[in-house]
Amino acid sequence: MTDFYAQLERQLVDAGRRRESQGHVRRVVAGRARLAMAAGAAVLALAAGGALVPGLLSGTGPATGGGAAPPPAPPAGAEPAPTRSEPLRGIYVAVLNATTRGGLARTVAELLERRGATLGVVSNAPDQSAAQTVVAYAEGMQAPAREVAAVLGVDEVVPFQGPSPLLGNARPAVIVMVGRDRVAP
Amino acid sequence: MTVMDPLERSDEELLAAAPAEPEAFAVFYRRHVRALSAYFWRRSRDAETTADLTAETFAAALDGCARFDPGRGPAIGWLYGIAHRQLGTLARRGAVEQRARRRLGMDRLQLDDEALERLVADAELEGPQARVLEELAGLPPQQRAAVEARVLHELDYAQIAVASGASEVVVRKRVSRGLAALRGRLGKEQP
Repeated sequence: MTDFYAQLERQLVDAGRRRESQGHVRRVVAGRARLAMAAGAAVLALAAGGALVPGLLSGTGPATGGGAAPPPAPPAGAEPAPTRSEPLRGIYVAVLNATTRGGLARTVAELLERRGATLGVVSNAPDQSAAQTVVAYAEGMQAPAREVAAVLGVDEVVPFQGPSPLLGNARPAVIVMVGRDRVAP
Repeated sequence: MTVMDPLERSDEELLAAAPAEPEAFAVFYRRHVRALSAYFWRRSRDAETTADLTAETFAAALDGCARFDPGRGPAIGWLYGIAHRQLGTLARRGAVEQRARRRLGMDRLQLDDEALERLVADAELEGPQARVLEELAGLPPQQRAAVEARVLHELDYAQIAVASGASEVVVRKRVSRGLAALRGRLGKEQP
């Protein structure tokens, strides 16, 4: 074997396995690792101190609900698992209406909630001229964003460049900006 | 439970998983090793040094991946930050650092001529694209995100504005400044 890339990869994987077996994986690390892996399992993962903070919209335009208080964050190790009928279970989603059509965010939010999502802020976006619905994800939350996008029939997900004053201290994993493509003809 | 295909995970997700899942780091490695080798090749013009720097950088990345904090920037910027420090060490000491490899019990790879030639050929092939990615990683985070959204994801400005929580005017400025910075960086320092 003379291929540098393959040799180096083997060395790295072996080294990684040695470390893992030697107990280099500290629990404190596992917390962060679980955060990202849990994303793959569509498990709720909020940022540190990630209280579910709804209704942080005072003075930022007419909130279309803010939703009922979301359930408290589940204790570690008791994350809800997604099911076939509720593939979004455990994903914390904010929904913003990026059009001038009233009630659109609420409609989409209810759809997502029926599919298991936990709703955070449901309100109007600062810009209300979006032609297409955009599904954005917080750092590391690409996988749950894809689940949300799949439910909405949106092809792509994009990174969210927060913080947005609209979201206050809430840290949703996924932010849906509803565009005119969701307006019923 | 959804089973995650490692290939579909973001770099940040892979690094977060890597301490407990060596294969996740391997996917991260395969994504970036050629571009990183090209980066080192352009700066060292020496195949063995390129191989050494690449190996040490990934060893340091593996060694430190548990400390990677996605809140402080994207994984690719973190990786090239390590790479940059390796170059600094090389410049100061005249030798490539081996600390991370030693800590991980990784021997220095002995490469024959054929392997070195292939490494150089790959680095040359990878060159232009790697350079753009590398310079993109070096942009301020908001500019980088705006350029990526506009150029790679082909979103329109209104969409980016919504996704970024900024006004369309601000987004246009970020894209424009980001592209100008890229042009400036790519225009000089030709290998």
